[in-house]
Amino acid sequence: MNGYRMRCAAALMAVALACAAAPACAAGSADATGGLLKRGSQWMSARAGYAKVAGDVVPDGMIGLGFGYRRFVLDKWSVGGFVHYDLLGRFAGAADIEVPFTFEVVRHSRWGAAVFPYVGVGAGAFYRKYYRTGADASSFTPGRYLTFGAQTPISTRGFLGLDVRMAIVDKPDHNPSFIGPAGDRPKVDDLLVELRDESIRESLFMFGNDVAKTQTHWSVKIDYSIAY
Amino acid sequence: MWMRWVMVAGALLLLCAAPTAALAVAESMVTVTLGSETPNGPFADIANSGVMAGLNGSYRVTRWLETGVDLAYFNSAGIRDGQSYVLIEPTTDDYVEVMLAEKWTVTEFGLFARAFVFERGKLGSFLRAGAGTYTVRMTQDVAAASATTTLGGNEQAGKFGFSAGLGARYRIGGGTSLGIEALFHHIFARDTDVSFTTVGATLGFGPGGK
Repeated sequence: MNGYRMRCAAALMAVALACAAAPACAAGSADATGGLLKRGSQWMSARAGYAKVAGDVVPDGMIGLGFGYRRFVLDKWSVGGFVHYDLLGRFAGAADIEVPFTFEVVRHSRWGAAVFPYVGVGAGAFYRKYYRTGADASSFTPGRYLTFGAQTPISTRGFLGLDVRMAIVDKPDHNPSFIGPAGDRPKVDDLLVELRDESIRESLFMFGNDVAKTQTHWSVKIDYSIAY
Repeated sequence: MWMRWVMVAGALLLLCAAPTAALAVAESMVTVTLGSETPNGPFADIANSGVMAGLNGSYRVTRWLETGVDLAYFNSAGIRDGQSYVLIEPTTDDYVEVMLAEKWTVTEFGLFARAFVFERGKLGSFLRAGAGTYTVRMTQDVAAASATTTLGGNEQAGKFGFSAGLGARYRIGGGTSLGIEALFHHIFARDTDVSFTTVGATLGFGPGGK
């Protein structure tokens, strides 16, 4: 019983101390971190988490890693460059890998002292690779994305947060391991050339070609950023 | 004829005599553009003239330089749009007469910069250049058919490209401005290139500069 009281008293004291300390910490943190959204501030970020392709017949999502740099060109506005390595999924031994090299513009905000949400847009070159499929293929395609998330200060210059990215990229052609539009169809590059030839033009029609040519890729990653 | 040249010379004289623009550094602006699109080069062989709409957000970094993010949509009818064809429907092997609806659309998302030159008073002329990602899409559909058909579909691909051009804008009050902008877009494709010119009227909104 005595031990129980002692534990309760210790817990109450801990809570009281925490309550007393919190406003001071929050105020100090707010002053310190608020300046990190100012023009000229620079952040280095490292990320790790989950990445997957949206769709009905796609592999389960796997892991993703990333790092990047951002610089605040205006108060609360940053531009940055990021490189990710996302294992989008695996079917047996076959792997769907993506490495986006991107540039983004992000608007940051601040809710109280502890939450720093942000939202932004980006674009870049997305390297895509099908590996160990029996018909491996790789290519660079342009992609665009929406990014959003929130961070919380965990030290004077460190932030821990969650980054969510929704990217729209071209869907690769059909593969023994991963589904996609037929590879032997006339593609945009073919149409741009062949439609100029009147003899071919008269026979170049699409029938029931309504398969989606783009994919949505999601990633949810824990983000650690250090500002300087 | 000489009257026209006198008027042009007078306008230039007024432009030069006007006070230089008030500093507009740190001005942010959202601009809406509506206009026309004209295919150039090989793309003109397969697409007709069309329309465009754009939205961009920009920030005046220095007195003469503005940078921003641009989103634009271009729509033009294909060269075969509205033409009739007699085709064999592959699912039934029957002949079907169709009137084709064909169009090319391009969406662009990228970065750009405007360099202001000869800015006088409320009137600012600028050169503009940008680069970004373009999605080129061709859509085929049936406007009318003599029988049921599966004709139709779309093809699209993401590409890289750039744009360059010039324009002018006139400040009508506060951060609001009206203007005109002409741009040349060039998209890199595999065996050919896609290029087109746009001319649009712009309406800009913003809080104004410092």
